[in-house]
Amino acid sequence: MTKPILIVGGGPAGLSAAHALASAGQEVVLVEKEDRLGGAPILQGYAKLVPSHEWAKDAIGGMVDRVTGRAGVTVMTGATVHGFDGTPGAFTATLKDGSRVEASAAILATGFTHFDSVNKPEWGFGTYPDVVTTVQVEQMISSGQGIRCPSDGRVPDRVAILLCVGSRDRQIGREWCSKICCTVSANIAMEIRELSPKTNVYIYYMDIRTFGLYEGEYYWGSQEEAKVKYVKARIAEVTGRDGRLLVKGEDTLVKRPISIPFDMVVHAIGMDPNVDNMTLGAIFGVDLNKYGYIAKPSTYAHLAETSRPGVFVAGAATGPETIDDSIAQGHAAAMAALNMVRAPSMAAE
Amino acid sequence: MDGNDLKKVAYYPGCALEGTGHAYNRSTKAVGKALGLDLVELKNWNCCGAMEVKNIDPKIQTYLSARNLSIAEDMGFDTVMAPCNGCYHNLKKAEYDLAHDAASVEVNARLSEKAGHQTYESGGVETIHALDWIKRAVGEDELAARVKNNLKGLKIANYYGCMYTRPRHIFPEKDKGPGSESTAKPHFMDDLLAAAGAENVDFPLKTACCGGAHSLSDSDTSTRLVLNILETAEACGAEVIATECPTCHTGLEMHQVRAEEVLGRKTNVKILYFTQLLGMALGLSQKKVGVQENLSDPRDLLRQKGLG
Amino acid sequence: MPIHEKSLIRPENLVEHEHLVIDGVDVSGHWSTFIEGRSITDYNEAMQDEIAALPGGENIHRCWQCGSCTNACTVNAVNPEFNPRYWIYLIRLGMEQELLRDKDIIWQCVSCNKCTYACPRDVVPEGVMKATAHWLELKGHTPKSPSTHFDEGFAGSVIKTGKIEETRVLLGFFRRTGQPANQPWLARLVTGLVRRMPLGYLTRLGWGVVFRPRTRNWGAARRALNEYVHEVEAQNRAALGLDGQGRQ
Repeated sequence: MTKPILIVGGGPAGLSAAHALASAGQEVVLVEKEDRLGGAPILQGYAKLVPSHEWAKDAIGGMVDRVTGRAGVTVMTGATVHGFDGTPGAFTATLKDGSRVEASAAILATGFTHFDSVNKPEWGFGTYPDVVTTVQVEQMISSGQGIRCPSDGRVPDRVAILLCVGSRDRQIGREWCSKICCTVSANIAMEIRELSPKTNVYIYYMDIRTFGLYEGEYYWGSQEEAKVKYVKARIAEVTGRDGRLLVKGEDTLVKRPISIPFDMVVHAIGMDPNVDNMTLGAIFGVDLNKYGYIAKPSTYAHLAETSRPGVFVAGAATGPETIDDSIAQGHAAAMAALNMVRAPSMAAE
Repeated sequence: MDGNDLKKVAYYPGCALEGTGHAYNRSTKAVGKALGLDLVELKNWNCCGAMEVKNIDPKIQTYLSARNLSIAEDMGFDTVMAPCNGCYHNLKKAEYDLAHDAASVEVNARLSEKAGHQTYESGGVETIHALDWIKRAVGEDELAARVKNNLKGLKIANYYGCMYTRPRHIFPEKDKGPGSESTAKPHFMDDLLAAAGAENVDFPLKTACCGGAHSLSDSDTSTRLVLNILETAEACGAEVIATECPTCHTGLEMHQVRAEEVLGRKTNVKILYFTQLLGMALGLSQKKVGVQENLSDPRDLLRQKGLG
Repeated sequence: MPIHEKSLIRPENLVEHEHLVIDGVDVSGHWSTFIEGRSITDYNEAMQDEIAALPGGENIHRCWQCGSCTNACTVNAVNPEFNPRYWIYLIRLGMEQELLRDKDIIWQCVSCNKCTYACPRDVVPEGVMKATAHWLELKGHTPKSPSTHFDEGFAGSVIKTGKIEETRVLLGFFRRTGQPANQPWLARLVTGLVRRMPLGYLTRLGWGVVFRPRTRNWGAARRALNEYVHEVEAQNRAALGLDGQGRQ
């Protein structure tokens, strides 16, 4: 009988890996640092997901239910791993409370951390209450309160969404595209237009990356159906004036400075490496890549492997990732771990 | 580095402080003395190259600053204090370039060898501004305790200019959270003057540009930029603009006169080095901090406030 | 051509013949107005590399046209024609004639580095502006700007003596640019100073003009710097395909 496989992180990738392993009859221990499962979509209160338009609480909630109480799956919430020793097939993880978990392999599904907008102070977050993040707008929608300015509860006449906040920016050491913010912003813009048809939504962009099939539904759809306006401008600063927000920049297509009043400004915040990655890397003995995510030494031959044999990785722990790809990677990591545990000689080839 | 190590630092006044910025030099030394701090001037220093030399070739500027840093090292100092934003900026930039750019290291080594002195290598000397010096060596609490002549009732707009915070990569110690200086909204001067009892106004142009680079070569642009700073400060209710750079200070004063002469726009806001203000708060006379050298002539205002 | 459309065409592209008869019909004056082609017909592919070879221009190829530089720009705020983002685009593609339309204002960059602070790609637009102004002068598209005269006078003093003396630099600048030194606003500054300044201070300012402040034992540094400046100038000219005299 093999020892259980340890999964660290109970978001989409971890839930997917747990489900896949349990379905294959493999025992699993799922460790989650927060007090409940679901990861960012549940803990941060996301609204409707891309691309299915299902509510996060239903879609990811379903994945939580599928794993919770299932035979062969031990869920430990409010738990973190403090030590991890041993070799493939015979690892021992020591948890915060001192308890030990024997494991044949480990899958790190430790996700990401949302960019903290206070690190771009020129765009007004933390100074003006009506400057919010995409996550806050998700919460406004999912909670049912609707789109309202935090300062006084009014429904905004005009909303600006600023793309690439905390992404693609050497000034703050973030040389990556966070992959999902363009599509999520187009989706949010459409949601705002649906909830409040009188509200005009403008998206300020450097490039639009609604990749693959998101192009038609989100980039085109937001313009053709929801009449969302796109402006090719990187904003210089957001200031306040007479109870509204002033968005200043250069409209690059008309080569003129702009200074436009808005009621609400939304930062499309990017995906940072998990703030705990340095610690996680040290505990599990895995390398991080130059951006600070968990490194995957091989792209093709050894899917989901880290620099340490027997420790696998999936989802946004490896870089900005969509929910559906995180789920696919959870499956892939489960399969890779299962191969190694059940047929170590074959997996090594 | 703790405050004790900064009680005695190497001092790089730079060319401007020997000329138009004389009052800054004088008041900086006077404040240091009043606070029990010791400045040892770099022996036989050279010009940092200001902005002009960089436009001929940036590596000449790197060398000029590296030579000054090597003098500080020779004199046994690990910290050099530069009150001029231009000098401070260039020393910081040289430090950064010598740590990150192989070509700068090579040129500096070659020029240093030919000039016959020690080649400065990055990491040897930390450059600080006069603001860092007083903030870290003394701090607001001790400063407040030593104030004899409170600046109470004096409304001040704090003006930091460009070179103190930009570009951010040459100031790795800034933007490091509570206690550190901010490149977006610098506050060290505000903190010190508040400790001396002044009332800082909310001034949005703290890091705006005065056009100092073209003060003479494109005077019209400089005058417009300075006038905007002066008028905004007045609109914010400031009686005084506090400066921490001789080029900014001279630019504001010169173009205040020029705006009145050429554009017919008169402003009354007075321009004073923060060290002049701190000096008077510490009980020094107007003369001791060189107020008679200020073109904007703040003597009457200061008398009304019972200062100096 | 309808008169009201004329405002949409650049004046240099409007051509009229004072006396023109076609097939016996007199079409002199505005009857013969036609518009020169406005298509851009080729790229100068050397332009980006040449500017990248000059100090400050190294990172121009990184630009993705977000406009952060222009919207942060101090000079753009007072003159919307001053547009670093746009110029970088023209240079990258080699649209030389379009760039030359703005050749007389590019040197006006005040080096405040707000662009460098904002740029998400670390293009260092401030350096690109300096490199471009330098390129325009080396290529003979513009005479030396007042800024270049000032830089050269200043740098000359530093290289010669290790220090500068402000009054001397100022007077040298007026001499180089052929301006009178007795400008009214300067006169007011000086009289203002004289009225209030202690005699010692004024004496010292004057003293600096007569007896230059200098760094001691600077000779070896001066020779090394002069040698280096010549080396850099030769490199810059070579990168632009110019010979020693600045000719193409």
